Amino acid sequence: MVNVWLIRYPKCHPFNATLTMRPARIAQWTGRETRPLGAGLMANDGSIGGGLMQALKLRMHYQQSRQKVLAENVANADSPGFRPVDLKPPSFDRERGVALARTSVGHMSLTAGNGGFDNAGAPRFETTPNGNAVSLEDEMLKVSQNQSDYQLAASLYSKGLALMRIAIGKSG
Amino acid sequence: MDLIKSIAVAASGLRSQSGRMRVIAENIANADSGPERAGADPYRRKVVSFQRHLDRGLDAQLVALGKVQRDPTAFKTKHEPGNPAADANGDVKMPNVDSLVEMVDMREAQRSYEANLNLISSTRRMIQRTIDILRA
Amino acid sequence: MATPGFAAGAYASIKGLGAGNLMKKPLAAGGAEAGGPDFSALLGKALDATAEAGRKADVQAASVATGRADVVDVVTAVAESETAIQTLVAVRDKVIAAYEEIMRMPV
Repeated sequence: MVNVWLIRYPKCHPFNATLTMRPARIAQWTGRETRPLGAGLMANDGSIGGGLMQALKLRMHYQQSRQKVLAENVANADSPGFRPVDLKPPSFDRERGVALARTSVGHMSLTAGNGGFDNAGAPRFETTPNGNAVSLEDEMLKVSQNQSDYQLAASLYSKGLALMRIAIGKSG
Repeated sequence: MDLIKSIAVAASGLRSQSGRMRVIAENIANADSGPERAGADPYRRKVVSFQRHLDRGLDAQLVALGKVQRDPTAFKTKHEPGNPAADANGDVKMPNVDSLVEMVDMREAQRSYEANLNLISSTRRMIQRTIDILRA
Repeated sequence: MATPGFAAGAYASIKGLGAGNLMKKPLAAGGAEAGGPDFSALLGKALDATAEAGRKADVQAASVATGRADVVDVVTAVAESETAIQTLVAVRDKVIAAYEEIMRMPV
């Protein structure tokens, strides 16, 4: 009964459009395709906020793990034979809307035999006689970059939630 | 979880660096400690070594100070015939501590200590920002 | 016992109560409306998602109590369950308002 009412009086749709209208009708009215990623409050698979929020969450997890890895690098700055390690950022698959991150975090685990590689691309020239290759300046640079990236992801995430609340119509 | 582990890792770094500072301080303080009696050895310079060990509970590589070892290099000698500990030629063995080396080592230890401190404060800021998501 | 899972679950239990009958499509319009999810399915999915978010928030809050919490997981789970419940409450309010609007129509 409610369905018929909505179709007969299209101007008075009290609900959030993406919750009630079918994708075909949305395209008809707005003239563009509904986006598969993060388009609505609840995506088709039931995740809150859709793929974009989940991607931000994944990014935060990655930054968190990277902070731990960088902490180990800094703490072991004088340990003989220690090579600094870094984490590969998660790759984001646009079609599926899901990041493939977790596997790469596992691959870069420190239990790897040769300690993993620093994939920033810059060759490490500074190897002290006892085999330690940690450059404190580089590591601190990465730490501050990691921190600001994390804060950015967290801010975007909380802004996304705030926007959802505006869409719902909450005033507080 | 990893954010809190980062603080634990950095804390182990702080502990190790402050242990290193303690040994450097001992070396500097005893830089002039000659032998107590004739034939005895003077203060021998102490050397720290760092060890990383994998903490299974935290799943993180912490750093710890290994056993404090003595520097095996030869003692310096000073010509001081009046000293009760002087040998037949009037030479006294002095500790093998070079103050300049100790000062440089001290600065390195301070730099590492500050790097660990910065990491802790950076991690703390990340944790606070996370909890702020709930507040907003 | 006001845990997020409890609150979200309270709404999810509506599905089983027969309130879903209110949202069913009229039988005759089956052919014309095919091609996309209908409102009852969307509402059902929203209820399920809310219950799931509430359950996840409960699990994370329990892990905080035992001390083995991942701060990102806890915060995101709690924030998402809060948003999900707010969404559901807003939908509920609008559904009630729409229903009352219809009942007021002179037939």
